[in-house]
Amino acid sequence: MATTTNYSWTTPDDTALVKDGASAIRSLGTAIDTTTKNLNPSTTAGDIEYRSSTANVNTRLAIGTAGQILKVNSGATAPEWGSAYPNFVGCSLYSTAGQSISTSTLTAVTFANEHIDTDSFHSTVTNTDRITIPSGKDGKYFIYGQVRYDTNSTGRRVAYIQLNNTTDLAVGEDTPGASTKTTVKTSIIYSLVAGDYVRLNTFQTQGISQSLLTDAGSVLFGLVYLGA
Amino acid sequence: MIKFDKPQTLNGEQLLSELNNAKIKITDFPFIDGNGDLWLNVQEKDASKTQTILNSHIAIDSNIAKAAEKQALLDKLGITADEAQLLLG
Repeated sequence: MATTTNYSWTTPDDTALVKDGASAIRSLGTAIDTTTKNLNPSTTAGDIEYRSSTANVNTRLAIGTAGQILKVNSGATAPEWGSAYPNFVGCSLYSTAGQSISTSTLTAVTFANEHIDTDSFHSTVTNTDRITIPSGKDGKYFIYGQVRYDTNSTGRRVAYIQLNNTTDLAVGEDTPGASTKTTVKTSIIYSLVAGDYVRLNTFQTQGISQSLLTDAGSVLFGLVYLGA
Repeated sequence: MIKFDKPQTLNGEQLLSELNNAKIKITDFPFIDGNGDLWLNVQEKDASKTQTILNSHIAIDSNIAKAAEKQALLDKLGITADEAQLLLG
């Protein structure tokens, strides 16, 4: 028997039409029906189809939920519905320890508390002063840090974001006040790769040791992954 | 940078002065890392001498030290702080 070019449906030969036409037409109709269904597996309004790994057989993708957008799955093998916003990646640290900063001594600020840490950027047990970029998270980051000192107008109050114990990426300094507490902020957008670590260092030159303030929101450090 | 045993109290400016007085050239502030370890930017040959100085380092409140220095100067001149201020306009 002859077959069609694209879907190989069996079609009756001229002689077969004479001999058993009805049966041949039924076979062709069944084949067309099966193929059509394979190509259009949708069952519900809003469904879409995409090609499966088998030729001429599509896969049904049910409609997503409100606000979702069409994406490629994590294995890059098929489309899927997902959030219009990427999942947050980053960490947000804070300290209420009242860390003592010796005068004229650059000191790494340690963080025992985390608001957010999506990918183990930080440990509250070891190297608590560091935020380390995990494997698979190379890219651009927004990095920020803040320290806060009590009222005193003597000397300087400075904070640095430092990379890999060598390079100061960003520096912030504020004039200390006799009646106002001094908040020193600094931030930068920078490319980091897995294994890189950043620290928040600070120094003050009041002449004696000074503790960082313990008020909530005084001593902060964190980063946000912006993209590859 | 070389790691040293940290003294009980630390005044970075005073320590730099003590090291410079001992002919150990250093301009960077001492650094204390997240583990509380003290690092100084001195040369390897000066490490032992530096540790000796650190062992005897007792941090003095720079403000008190400066105030004492100021008073000594005023005493030497035989004038009061107010008089000195008046002289300076």
